[in-house]
Amino acid sequence: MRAARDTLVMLLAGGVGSRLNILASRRAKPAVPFGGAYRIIDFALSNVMHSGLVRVGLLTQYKPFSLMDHVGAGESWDLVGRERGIKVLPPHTGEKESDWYKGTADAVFQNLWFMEDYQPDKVLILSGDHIYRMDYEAMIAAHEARGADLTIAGMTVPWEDTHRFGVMVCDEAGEITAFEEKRPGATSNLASMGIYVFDYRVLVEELSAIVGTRRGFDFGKDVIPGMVGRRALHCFRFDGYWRDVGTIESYLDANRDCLDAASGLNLASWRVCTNADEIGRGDRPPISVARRAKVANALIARGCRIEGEVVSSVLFPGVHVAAGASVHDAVVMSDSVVGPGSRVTRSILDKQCVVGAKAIVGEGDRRVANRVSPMHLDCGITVLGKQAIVPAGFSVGTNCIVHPGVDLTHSPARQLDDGETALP
Amino acid sequence: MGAQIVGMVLAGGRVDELLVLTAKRPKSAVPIWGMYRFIDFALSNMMHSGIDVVGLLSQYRPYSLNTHLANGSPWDYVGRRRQLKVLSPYSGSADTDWYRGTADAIWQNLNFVDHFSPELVLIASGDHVSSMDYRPLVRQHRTTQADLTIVLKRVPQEQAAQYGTAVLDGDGRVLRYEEKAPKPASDLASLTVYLFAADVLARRLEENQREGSAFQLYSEVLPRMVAEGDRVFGYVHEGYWQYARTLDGYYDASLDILRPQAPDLAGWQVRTNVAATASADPPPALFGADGLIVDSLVCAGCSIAGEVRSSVLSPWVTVERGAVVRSSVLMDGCHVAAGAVVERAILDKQVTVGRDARIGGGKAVANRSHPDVLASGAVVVGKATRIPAGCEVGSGAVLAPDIGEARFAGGHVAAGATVEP
Repeated sequence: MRAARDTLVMLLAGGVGSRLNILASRRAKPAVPFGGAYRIIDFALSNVMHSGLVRVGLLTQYKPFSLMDHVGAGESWDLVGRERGIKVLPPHTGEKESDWYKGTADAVFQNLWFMEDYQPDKVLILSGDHIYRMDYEAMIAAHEARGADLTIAGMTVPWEDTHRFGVMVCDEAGEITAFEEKRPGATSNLASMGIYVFDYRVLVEELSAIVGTRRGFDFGKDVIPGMVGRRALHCFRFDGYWRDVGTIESYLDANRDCLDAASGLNLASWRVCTNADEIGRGDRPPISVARRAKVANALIARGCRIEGEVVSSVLFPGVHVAAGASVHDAVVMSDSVVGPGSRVTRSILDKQCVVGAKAIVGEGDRRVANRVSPMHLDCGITVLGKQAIVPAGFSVGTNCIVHPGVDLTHSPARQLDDGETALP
Repeated sequence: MGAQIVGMVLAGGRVDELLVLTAKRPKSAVPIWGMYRFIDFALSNMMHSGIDVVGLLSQYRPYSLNTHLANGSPWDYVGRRRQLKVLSPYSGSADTDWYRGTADAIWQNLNFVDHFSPELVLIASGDHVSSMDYRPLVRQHRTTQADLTIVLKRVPQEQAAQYGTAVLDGDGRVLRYEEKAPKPASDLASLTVYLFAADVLARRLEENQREGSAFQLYSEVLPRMVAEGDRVFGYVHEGYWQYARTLDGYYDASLDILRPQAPDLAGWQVRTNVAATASADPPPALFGADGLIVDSLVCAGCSIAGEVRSSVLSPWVTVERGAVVRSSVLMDGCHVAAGAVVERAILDKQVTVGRDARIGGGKAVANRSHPDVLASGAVVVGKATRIPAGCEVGSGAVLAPDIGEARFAGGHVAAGATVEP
């Protein structure tokens, strides 16, 4: 425990998550709801808590409001107390200029004053973007045992994915001998997970030398490559479940991983903690399953009322699936209503959506990619933004995006074709 | 510091008729409808009715109740002018006084009430289930300039003898109040919710201390106030109300929530302390690919791979593949192993049912030791009792808490039997 307490956590939670499209258009990626009861940042915060870490700086930037509401004072993760705390660190005006964070290293550099207050031995730098369970205490212990200046968590990824990561080459002892940031034709498939344990003094020196002289602003691109060979860099290997959920398809897949512990994602055994009191969620009644309901392979949160069919899906609190409705391979967020006789298939419904009676959402030809955002949506999934309304009898195809608040009742047509986007 | 109304919740009673369910907790702390405890209903009513100060009278084994109440924050009772205070018995100057009755319990805590100099004192039972807005009651009380307003509910005449009943005149004034009369003159039953003018309450309780013998509000204070001409009025509550006085009553009330005309829990806005015992938040309920679940109420943290019908499951209940649960109430953390069948049973928290065990079902047999409280044939299993693989427990059996598997060496508990600790 001693090792963990000497470590200050800097949690990067400013991620834009642009490939999540409208799911992250009004909230930072770490605040995107996940797994029927959580937000993505809960996984990192729960890891912090279960690793015995008690001091956290939370670096926010992009649309931080739902995130700040959610984190509150930090009591949900035991971060309130005399020696415990979580402090929100938004971008701030410096002496010379107003600076938005220009990268991960810049965000930490601009908050050196915060770290100075605590004079930690080590700094653990994380992002709040990933779904995983990891014991940071073991990583910190390994860092100390090896006397490293920097320890980077790494995992083996498929070669075809290496272009999305910083990758490193290690010798047999685990010492990092090469590090290269995202590029095609990688020389290693040992990917950096963006989790760093820095010796505090080394961190200050390196950030001052690189960011302080405005030569670079990013850990993976600018800071770490220059440390190889000059500093003691070690890799801490991780081989458990870890997902970036950076795309709509990976988001749906990872949610469905919650349905089967064999996937490696086990919410119960991971003991993920969340702020259940946020907007009164904790007081929702139990789940009610009606006489003619069918529920199979599903994760269902409190306050849901199931009168129809729910298969291979994740339902957040307060969802109502009316009689005769079916929900297949879907993620449905809080307080959405799936009307009587309607069908929702391979879709993601943000909060408070309404699907009218006998409406159809998500059926069509998945080869037709979304016309506006083909890079985000070409895998046969439809996404309804927060408070979108699909009227009775209406049909929304696949690869469709309905923007938040759009009411298709006002649409002249009775359907939204495959690949179409409904804008406000 | 002032408050117009001080709420006093009577939450200390064991209620022996619930047998093993109240072995280690007062009735107000008994779980109901998956995630609630009885006390939640009174506290939620107080909260939603804008009563800012509540004293809670606890006596019998208060540990689980105190844990559940925490600092009152689940009911928003934290703030400069808002508080929920647990009032336990304390030693007086003369001797150690346990509460001798409801009137005595309130009397011993009049200093708490006086501290706020309230106009009214609302006394409510903490072990009833209802959704009641007390504000119209307060308005009526003021309009009629009452000394006491008793909340009543119309019940079937044949059940009226179980209650205190009141005869009202055309203005709603109580002409006569009788407690559990063999042939009641009225079908308006008292729900043990009393709104008193604070000064009258203090005077009548002091008098009761001098002249009473049972120190009960219902049998001594109320009848005397009516008889001596105090302004005592009735206020008739419409809507669901449940007491669950016996194990049969508890079983029926538990399954009430599945009926078509069930109370709308979301609409009631019942609040509870979901974090009271959690080392981690329960994840959403997980339903397996081959499971079957219908007509049931299920809480977060449950994992259902088997068959569940017409049942109420509290958080963290596991029903393994191939197991069957029918018409049953399973409290927090129960585990039903593969091949086991649980039918018409109440399992208190953390009961485990081994593989292929058979609990309940078949012909309904009354419990032989307690036929007056358990005649429905339901099986009742006390907290953390472990029923081994292959064991059969007959209809109407009652099993004490904390019984280990070794006690079931015969592999059989006869219908109607009671297994003592």
